[in-house]
Amino acid sequence: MPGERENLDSDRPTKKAKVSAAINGASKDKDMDNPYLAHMYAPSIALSASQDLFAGLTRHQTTTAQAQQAEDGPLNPFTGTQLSRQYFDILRKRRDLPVHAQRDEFLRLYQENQILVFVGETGSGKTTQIPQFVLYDEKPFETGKKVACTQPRRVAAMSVAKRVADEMDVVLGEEVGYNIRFENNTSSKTLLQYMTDGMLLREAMNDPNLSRYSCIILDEAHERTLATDILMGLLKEVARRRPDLKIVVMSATLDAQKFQRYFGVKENDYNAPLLAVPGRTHPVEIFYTPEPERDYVEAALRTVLQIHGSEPEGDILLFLTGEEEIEEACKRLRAEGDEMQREYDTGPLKVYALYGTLPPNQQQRIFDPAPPPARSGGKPGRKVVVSTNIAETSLTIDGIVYVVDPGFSKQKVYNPRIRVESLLVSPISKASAQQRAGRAGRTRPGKCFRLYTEDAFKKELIDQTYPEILRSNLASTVLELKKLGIDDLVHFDFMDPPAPETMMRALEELNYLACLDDEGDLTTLGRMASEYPLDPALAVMLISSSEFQCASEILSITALLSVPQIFVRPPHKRKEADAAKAQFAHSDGDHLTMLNVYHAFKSQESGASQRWCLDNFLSFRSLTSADNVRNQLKVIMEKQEIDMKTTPFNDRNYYNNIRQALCAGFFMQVAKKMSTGKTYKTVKDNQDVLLHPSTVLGQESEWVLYNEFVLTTKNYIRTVTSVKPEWLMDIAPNYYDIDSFEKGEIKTALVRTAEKIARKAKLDKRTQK
Amino acid sequence: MTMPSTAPNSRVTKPSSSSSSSSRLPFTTDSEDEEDAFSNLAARHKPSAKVLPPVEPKSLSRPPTMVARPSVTNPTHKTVARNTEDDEDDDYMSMTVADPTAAETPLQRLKRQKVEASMRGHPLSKAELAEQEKLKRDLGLATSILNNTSSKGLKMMKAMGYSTGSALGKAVPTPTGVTDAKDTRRLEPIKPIVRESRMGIGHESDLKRKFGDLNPAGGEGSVTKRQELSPESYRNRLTQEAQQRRYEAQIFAAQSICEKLVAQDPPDSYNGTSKKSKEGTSEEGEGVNEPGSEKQAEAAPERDFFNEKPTFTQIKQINLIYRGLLYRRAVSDLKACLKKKEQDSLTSSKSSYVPNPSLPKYNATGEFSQDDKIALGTESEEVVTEQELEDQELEEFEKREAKDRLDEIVRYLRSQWRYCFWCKSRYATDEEMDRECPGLTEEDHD
Repeated sequence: MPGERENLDSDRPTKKAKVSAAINGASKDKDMDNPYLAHMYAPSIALSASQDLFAGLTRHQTTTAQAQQAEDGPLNPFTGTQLSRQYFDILRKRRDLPVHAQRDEFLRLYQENQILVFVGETGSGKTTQIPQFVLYDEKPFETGKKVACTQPRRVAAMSVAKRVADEMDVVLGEEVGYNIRFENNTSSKTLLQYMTDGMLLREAMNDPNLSRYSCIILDEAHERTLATDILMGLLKEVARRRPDLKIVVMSATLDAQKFQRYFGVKENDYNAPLLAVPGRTHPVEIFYTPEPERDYVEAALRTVLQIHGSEPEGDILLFLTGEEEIEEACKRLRAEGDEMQREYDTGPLKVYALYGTLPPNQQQRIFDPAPPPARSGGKPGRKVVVSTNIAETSLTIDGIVYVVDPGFSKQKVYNPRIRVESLLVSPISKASAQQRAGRAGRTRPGKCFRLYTEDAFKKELIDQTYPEILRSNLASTVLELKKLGIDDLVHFDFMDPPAPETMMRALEELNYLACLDDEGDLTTLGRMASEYPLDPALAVMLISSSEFQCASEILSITALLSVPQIFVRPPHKRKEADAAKAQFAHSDGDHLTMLNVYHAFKSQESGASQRWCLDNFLSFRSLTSADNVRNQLKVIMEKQEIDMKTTPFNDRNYYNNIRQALCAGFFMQVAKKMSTGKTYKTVKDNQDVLLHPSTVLGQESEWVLYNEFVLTTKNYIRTVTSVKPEWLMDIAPNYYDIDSFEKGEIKTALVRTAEKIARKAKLDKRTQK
Repeated sequence: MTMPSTAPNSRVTKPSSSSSSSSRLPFTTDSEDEEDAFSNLAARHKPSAKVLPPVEPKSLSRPPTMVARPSVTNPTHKTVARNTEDDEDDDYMSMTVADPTAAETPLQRLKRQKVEASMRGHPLSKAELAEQEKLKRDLGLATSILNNTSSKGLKMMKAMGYSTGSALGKAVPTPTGVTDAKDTRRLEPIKPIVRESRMGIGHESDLKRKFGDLNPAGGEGSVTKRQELSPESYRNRLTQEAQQRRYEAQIFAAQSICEKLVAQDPPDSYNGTSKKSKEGTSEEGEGVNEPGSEKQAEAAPERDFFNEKPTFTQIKQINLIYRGLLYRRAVSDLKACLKKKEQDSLTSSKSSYVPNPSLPKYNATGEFSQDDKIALGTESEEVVTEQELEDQELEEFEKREAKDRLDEIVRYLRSQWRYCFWCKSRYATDEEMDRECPGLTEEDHD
């Protein structure tokens, strides 16, 4: 899935060093800037001044008093410079945080145990403070080993690192840094590193003992992302091999027992120790509707406006499911809010949207304070944030007093039986509902309006949200695990093991892609593919592209498929947007259309491209990001010495070569048109599918290859390109083995194709003679 | 057009070009015969497919009303059902030739070809396609791929020590003292559920509780619920459900006819004659009122039904034979009415936000004013109580087997109006009916 891949620059340290040295002709200094080599130059991390400031402290024996003394300055214990005024202002606030009261207890447990489970509700300060507590006790400049704190989201890793750098009065990127996909803001000085969980997992693939770290803090473990789940299983094993490695698992929910048991020892009936810090929250009053709602969006809007009209000052947070729904709701709320202000003299209502794909500067706007009264003495203004479940745990918006919770969120679900992966609007879990309610009590006692009955809450909501590992295609995870050296995947200690069929499908697909041999061992191709932070199908396509003389083009397409949608289609300008897209349309399909866009984008003068994107209904952000991804992937390809030579553009096989190369990765995602009409059928799973309306492809293509099979109210295949059955049978004879097909239209067509191929071969032979 | 090969499976060998090409790519090295995940499944199904007609979603997906609409008199729908296993296939010709057991008389072939031509001529409607898509999806989602023993993925897992039917991972350590700790490890993948409306949580189950599952022909929910079935029994059940739906559609058709005939020709004019055909009425027994006694109760209100909507109380007076039809119509009217009210209230209640600044749905006592109730659409002015909605007699009747009910309605039509549901015609005299009409059942009319 685009956007979920992390760390494109996780090459093996030594190799990367060679590459960069070769490219830049750089000296040792250059190497030292490379964070992957930091451990090789460990002693240089320490600054002579700072060592004195820590003089009285013994590693793993520090106390709160000692640490506080060091914190109180006047010199910065980490840099030896004078501490700023701002530092002391923040320090006062930090000492007020709930976690601070338990610093002693934390240190004692931390020093006595290898693994510790820490539960702190949102607002306890755990994400910013615990890593700093650890830092004073670990003294990383002594060991040369860093402290890592993982976050499920890029934005969180970035913003928390910024905050902590301020708290420690250091420059972001030096002592405190962050490392997220396409952005490594760390240096050889870095002692504390915030990073995404996926990033750490990638690092583990090349450094199985995570030897650069002395402590790993897994934050937001309750979110149970795929990477966090795998990391937990991995860290359990690493902890056994490395007794000096400390692990802190931090969770925001009270379901900590599961973590305790998981990190405990079964035989001894020993559970990992737990430290719980109460959050600083105010009571939240919960209201249920007396009757189930017929339309949750309507009900939500009604409730928001009623709160605005009748409740005292305080901002509102409304949870909806996706971009479209949120934008629609915002539009209507703005209109209604203005009308209310005009007609009934309510305070002004400011409405903000919040969702993942929103540009960061717009995301920042949600932190703007509520608007002032329209006139002096008038009613106070109010802010409404309409958000996806981003605002549930990861983002904290101060000033929220009212929460409106319709009880839904979009969740990814993958089903291995028909190989469909979709974002579906699903009821949330009880845990999620509690989390949402909690957002109302951040500043003062609040209210949460649940748009369902209490009975429905009890009976229809599941207890915990399904962890991502149960809802994902595991092909890339299995490849990662294999690369991590885990051979017995069946008995790998998953916290929540995936369904056997999901694992089976992943292994099978990797076998068809020739990443795993029949014994389940990594092949050379598999080893190469695992170096890319991509789905195996994309990685294999990329690696084999040189055989079709179109590596450069496939590289562009891969990058374009790895970023959010490049076409913009604003609701009020659909026609114009479609017309703009039509300029780039390639009759053979969407992949080639995207490639046309990219080529046009690159031919713009650098200053004009943003304007050009706007005029052509393209996302500048996505295209720039694709460009970035492309560069990152190119480095890996070059390292693997993949031939980048391409077919000349005016060669008549230019596009055919690209289409064939697409088949090399996506031969399992093919559908054939049925004789009965518009429907297509997926080649092996017997599913009727329709071309997504966004496609540029006409209805006349017999065989199409698709990037995604999604479920909405209909079965859709999205991003499609027409292909030929001859190519498929040629490129993937194992998958297109005719005997393995069920009797039907597809088999018949394949039989005919095989006959055609045979005839042509015979003919060729004859002409050769 | 290429000639259809007589035996596609046997004649086709691997194209020679494929083996030569395998050297081109790094990942086509293992050339052992690869079996697809579904091929084995398919093989397992083959024998059963011969015994019972394979479930061809296409045939199911035809709305039952289409096949049994009373005005349509041709009996082809039966043939359609019999032959649909072919119409998915381009080369049905080769298949029938290849299978010597399927000896066809020229007449049968003519008939079949006609049907097939007409199938091709009438592309499926959007709704039919959607239903077919959904059925295939549900079938796919209900079929475990672990049955596919030839899958290399499964073989690899077996090599790692996996045994079919068990979960992955390590068993969760059980804390001492707790004996009933559940093993929460998943055996089945999570099923994707598509929500087609913006109904709030609990609304659907609330509707079911209020109105019951009044639409057995719809069968929407029933297909999605049970998923742990073997493919065979799943197919069997689909066949049965299709049959049920056909019966329900025929019942609907028969009831409609009944309603019309009552309007044209109230049953009292046949009072005398209906008694004659003893075997027709005797079995009606407890369920159906004697035609004579129902005369007064029925005739008066029924005539008006075509002009105005009956109340639920009135409906309870109607002959059980076709009361269900009117009841369902009334319920759907009621639902539509409620829905409309709510939509009205959504737009109209806007003005009530501020003048009356209280949250109607969340006030302290949990009670709300009548105004609010109406505005929120939870209560309509025409109040229909649950008691009125309840109709025990009808429930009893509807509980009976669909076939049984259909037979009864057919007999009733015959006895009251000498109308044969299968001939789709009315006879002037009993003698004519005896002579012209082949019998009581659908098979007799084949």
